[in-house]
Amino acid sequence: MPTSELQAWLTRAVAALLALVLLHLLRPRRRKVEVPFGGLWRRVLGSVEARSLGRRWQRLLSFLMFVAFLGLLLGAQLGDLLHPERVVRPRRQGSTVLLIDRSASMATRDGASEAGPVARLDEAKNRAAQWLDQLPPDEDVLLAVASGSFEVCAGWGSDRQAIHKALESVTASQGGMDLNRAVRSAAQMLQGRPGARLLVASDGGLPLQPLETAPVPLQWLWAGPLGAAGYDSKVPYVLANLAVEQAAIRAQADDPDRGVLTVQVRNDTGKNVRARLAIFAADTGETTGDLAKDRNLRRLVDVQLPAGATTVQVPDLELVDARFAVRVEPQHPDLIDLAHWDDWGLAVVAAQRRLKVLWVGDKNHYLDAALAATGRADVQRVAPADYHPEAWRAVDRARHGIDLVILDGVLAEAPDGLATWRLGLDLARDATQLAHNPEVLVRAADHPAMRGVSFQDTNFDAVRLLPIQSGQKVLAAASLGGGRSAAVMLASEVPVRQLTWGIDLRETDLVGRYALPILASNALAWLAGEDQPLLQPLELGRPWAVDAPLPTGSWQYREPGQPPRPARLSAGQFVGSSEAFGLHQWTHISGETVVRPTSLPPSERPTALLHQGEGVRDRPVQAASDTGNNWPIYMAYLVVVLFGLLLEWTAYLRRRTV
Amino acid sequence: MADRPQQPINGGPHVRADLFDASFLGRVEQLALLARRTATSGAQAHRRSKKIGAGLEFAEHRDYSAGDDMAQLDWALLARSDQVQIREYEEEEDLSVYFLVDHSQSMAVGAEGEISLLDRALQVAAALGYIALSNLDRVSVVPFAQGASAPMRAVRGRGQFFAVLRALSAIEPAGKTDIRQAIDDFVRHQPRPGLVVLVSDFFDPQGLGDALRLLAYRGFEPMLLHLCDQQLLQAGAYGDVTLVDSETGELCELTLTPALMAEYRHAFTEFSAEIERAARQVAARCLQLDVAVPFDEAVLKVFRQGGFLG
Repeated sequence: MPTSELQAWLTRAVAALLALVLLHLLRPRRRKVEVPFGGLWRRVLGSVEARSLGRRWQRLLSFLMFVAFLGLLLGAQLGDLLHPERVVRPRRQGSTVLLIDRSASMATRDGASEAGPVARLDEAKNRAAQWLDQLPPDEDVLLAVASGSFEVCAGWGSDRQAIHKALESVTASQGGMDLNRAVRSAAQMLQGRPGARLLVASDGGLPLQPLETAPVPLQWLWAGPLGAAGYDSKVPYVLANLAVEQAAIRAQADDPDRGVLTVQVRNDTGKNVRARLAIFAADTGETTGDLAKDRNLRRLVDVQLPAGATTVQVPDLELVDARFAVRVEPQHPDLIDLAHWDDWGLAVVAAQRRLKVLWVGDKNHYLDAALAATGRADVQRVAPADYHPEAWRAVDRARHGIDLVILDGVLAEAPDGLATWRLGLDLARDATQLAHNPEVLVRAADHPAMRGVSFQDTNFDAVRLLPIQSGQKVLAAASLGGGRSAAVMLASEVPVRQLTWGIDLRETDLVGRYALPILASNALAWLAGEDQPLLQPLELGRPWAVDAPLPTGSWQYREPGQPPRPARLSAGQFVGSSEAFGLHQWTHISGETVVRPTSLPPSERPTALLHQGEGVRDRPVQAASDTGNNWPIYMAYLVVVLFGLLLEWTAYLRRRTV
Repeated sequence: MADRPQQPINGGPHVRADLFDASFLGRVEQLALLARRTATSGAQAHRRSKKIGAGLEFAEHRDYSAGDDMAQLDWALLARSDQVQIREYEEEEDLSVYFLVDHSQSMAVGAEGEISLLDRALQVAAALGYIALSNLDRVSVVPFAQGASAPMRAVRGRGQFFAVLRALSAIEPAGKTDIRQAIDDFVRHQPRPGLVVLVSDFFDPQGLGDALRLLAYRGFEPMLLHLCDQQLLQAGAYGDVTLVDSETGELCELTLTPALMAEYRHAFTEFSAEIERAARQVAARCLQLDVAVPFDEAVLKVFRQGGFLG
């Protein structure tokens, strides 16, 4: 007897034993009570006419009913355990085309898995391999891939090893996918074969056209941000995704007590969609979840969203509350937005926004006091020995929790993509020159970092003279006499904003002057980018085009984590695509710079009108949604059992005997 | 019952110490005093069986007949009215008090941790017996169930109290209740007529009427002490039970519900009324004693309401 069959029998035996034990425990038992004179009781029973057959059996019948209900309930719950063949039902000999989407979007790495970002294609291949392992051995399988074209990788056969090998060799292409054409091609391959079935492993992101009715039973193996819950072919509505890309709140020029909420919304449905923006506001709360309460709802705005990205401005919002959350949702009830996690955006009035600051350096009471005086810095201090930029970059990417980094007297790299504020006298190994007791003058009073600041009568015991590099702006300089001066404070915006102070707060009486808290406040605000306009983010894994200020000339493109390379220009736009997360930067030879951040990993959604034909009924593995669909049945069982118990209790109260 | 402690009290080798301990004896003594006080307060406490014979108190005259003792001739009357009359005197006899104690199995049933009907019956019989002995009556104990044992030799005087206690202590629960058969057995031993105190739960399927009529016919004066356990009538735990008849062992499955318990209480009340009716038919007194009531209170009730020895 095979081991699996033996295990099944053992399972049944254990279940039967448990049932017997349960019945034994639940059997009706009566306490024995000794009475002095049974005759009196018999007289009582005779007088109440309680010895009818129905009453005698009432108790036993109700007990049997209860056991039956309980058995049904347990049977429903344990059905899959006792009858695994119901989950993996042997199929008759059939033919399956396994169609793998190898379009460019399948190369996108999603961060949903615990092991880290996984390319959608790898996920699709893993699921397809699992499916293959579950298929009956006599099932004929054909492996095909599709992007721009339909290609067969492994022909009809039941040699699983060959299919697995071919599956391993599938790689993503650079093009998109015509799903309709691929399905039609697969259907042709299945024509005339018994038990025809088409299995599509895709992220469903492209194309945006409605999916035609498939000529063969079609089932999806989902590989994308939707996760394992997958795709129910019986759902008769359109799946779509609307997402809030970015949200910002600014005071209106004519009324500082009112603001304009600028919301950047993405519509992935490929068509115009009527949507609604729900705007919430509160004076506390750090997340959208904190704000998403009915009492915080401030306004509902109906908008028409064309396909792609749209910027919506909602004016005249009272700035009594500093924090605003906005949610986008489709208005049409048949339009289901499957990705709820990207429907929210959070905007905070700049002056009231708390900044998360990573401070690397030793204890510095002066800097500590200056940051505290700004009233908006949540500081996390890390000793230089414990600071590793790579680790903090990973934390930042996972949490998006740090706005800027302060490197106080530390010769270390800043995490990529984070604004940095360096200060101290040991700022760079090649900056060897120190100046003692110099006169320091503000050189860029109009710069946001220097507004309202003067160093008049401020003494500096020592300052570091900083070499000026390309793209850096001198904020303050030390007068060296003889008309010479050298930079002491620098600012740069490429690739991210950086402030560099050749000043040690322990070597100056600046700490005793009102200029320091102003400087600190300016520095935080500028580094946090609050004066920046909204930048159009780039979507990972998708082709994009960014307007180039100068259509001609030599542009260098710097992709995060990659060395600079010549930029690709087409019709006055930078074109390309990238999987790299961070700031993308184009630099012209003239110094002109264009910077675009990438958004969070996008959530491509199927926009196809769903197939209404016969679906594949037997799934190789039970999806999580299957369990959820059984709950109504379980609840019905529960209601029946409760009703039975209620009847039993009522009968108990009414009856005299059995 | 087999493990009931039996310790000698004042030389009695078989007196149950759990029932008849020192405090019991003290309370019985107090009861005797109370009974005496009751007697002097108006109610006649001493009962005597009257017999015309050789007593001291004049009873009546009767005509002389040949063979009469000439010493009994009333010479004064003869001289005064020329009538020949014999003086007759009243002869006083001791009252015989028989305690017929039911020791059937039903008397042993009781709530756990509570005193059983039988034990309460023994206590009540002991206390009443002590009072009777104090009253110089003859006391005898007769256990009965399906039949009656031979009556214990009647004893008289307070000094015989421990003989009564020993007789009571020897009683163990056994057998079914058949009161008619028990009375038959009792009267077959031709005891002297007297007061018969029946201490029982009277759970007899045959009923009580015949037995009481037989007693009355034989010149006995029955007195019924109906012992019951009200706690058994208020079963707190309802539910499915199998009732076991303590005497017959018969089973009866039912579900105890408040409604059924109310029916049972009603049936018990009717049953008690039947017993009282049967007692009234022979002019006997009947008292219901709850086992939860302390024995001394029960005894006083017997005195005050039942007119024991009154």
